[in-house]
Amino acid sequence: SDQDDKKTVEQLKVKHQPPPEGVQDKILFIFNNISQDNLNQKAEEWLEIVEQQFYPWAAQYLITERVSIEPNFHELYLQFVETLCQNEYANHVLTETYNNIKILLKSPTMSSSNASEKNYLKNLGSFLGLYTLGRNKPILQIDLDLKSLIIESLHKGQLAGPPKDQEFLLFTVPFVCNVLRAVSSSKVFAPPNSWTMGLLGLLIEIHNIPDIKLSLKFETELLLKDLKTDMSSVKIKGILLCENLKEKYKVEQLVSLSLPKSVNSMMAPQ
Amino acid sequence: EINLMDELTLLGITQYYAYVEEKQKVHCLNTLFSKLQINQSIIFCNSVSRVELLAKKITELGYSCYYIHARMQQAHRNRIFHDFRKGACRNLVCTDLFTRGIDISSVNVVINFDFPKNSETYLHRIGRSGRYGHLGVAINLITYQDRYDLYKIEQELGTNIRPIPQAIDKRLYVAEYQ
Repeated sequence: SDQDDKKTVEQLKVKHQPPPEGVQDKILFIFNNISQDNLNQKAEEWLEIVEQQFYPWAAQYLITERVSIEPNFHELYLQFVETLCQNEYANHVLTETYNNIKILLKSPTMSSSNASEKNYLKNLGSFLGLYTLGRNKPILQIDLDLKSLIIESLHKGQLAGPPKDQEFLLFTVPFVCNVLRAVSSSKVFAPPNSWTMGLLGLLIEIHNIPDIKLSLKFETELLLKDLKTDMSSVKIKGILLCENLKEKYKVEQLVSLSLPKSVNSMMAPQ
Repeated sequence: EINLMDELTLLGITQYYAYVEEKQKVHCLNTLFSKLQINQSIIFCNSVSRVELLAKKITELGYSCYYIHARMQQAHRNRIFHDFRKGACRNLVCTDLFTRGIDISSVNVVINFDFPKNSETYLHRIGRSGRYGHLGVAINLITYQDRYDLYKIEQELGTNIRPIPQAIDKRLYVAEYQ
């Protein structure tokens, strides 16, 4: 399992063409020194040293080396990306975010209470939420289907049976909660937005399953508290009880894990 | 009677030294800041004037840095420390001010720009409070004059300060890489 863990983390470092070492050093220096006070200055420095051909590498660096482990600077790094005003780079950053989320969700160790992968995933979730929902942009179903993800992880767990029946949920529920937390700063997606309410309803259905782990309950309760939303005000649709869905998710692969299409289509293929 | 040294631990802190000449110290700092993954850092100097001098120098070089030292008013110090803790800036240059260790979990790198003279000061700078301590790396810039102090402090604290390797494994100082 230790080896699996390493493999997954290694996988996060997809081979993009790296810039020369001197440029890498300067990029590291910049990310060690960005703050609210110097965003413009650091953005200028960055644009001077990072050529366009290295944008994929630089996006991967930001996501795997910074965003995934420095949740305290998510908002800062997002503002930095915005200050750069380079759509191509911003798109690469979003693509890297989705790709890394999917690599982690597909990880063979996802089910074996792997704390560091779980934290990576949670951190990427927060960042994705801030980048999209927090800035009034949707998370498209073809990029990442959050609803399916939760239903699938429930059914995958039920197939595995006890004591592993809740292990997938222990990964996906905190992740989805972290993504959704960003709606509190969104004019479009804050409750009572129907897309948000649908997901909250589903989370509450999970919350209400008998014998569900306390930590899972807490995640949902904490999210509702952060969104200043009362549990009783969320309509529950009984999605989990729907037999058709049960059958569907038993046979299908994780539909939510195909490559991000909308982001990719914005960029020329390699 | 309280012995504060009992409350601090070096557990989880990987300690290195870099052997340098005084005039190479800033260059060495630049190298560290181009190679390490630093969330937030604290850089210690041995005097008020050196804190001010270094903070000025590295700010010019593009560092995000605040400074605090013993000759500043307490209210002012508190303000800066509070802002640093909130992440308003990335690096803090200071004299010896922490008597109970640094309890900021985002500080994963501590640098002794000037090496302390005794083990109690060293422990207060590098050691962490709290039951398990935080993960982190401590880097000591050692000059010819510091060589005996390094040995003495290592002995007195029963700890191991090794020469800095070419590359430092992230798992040693970045919690989520464990």
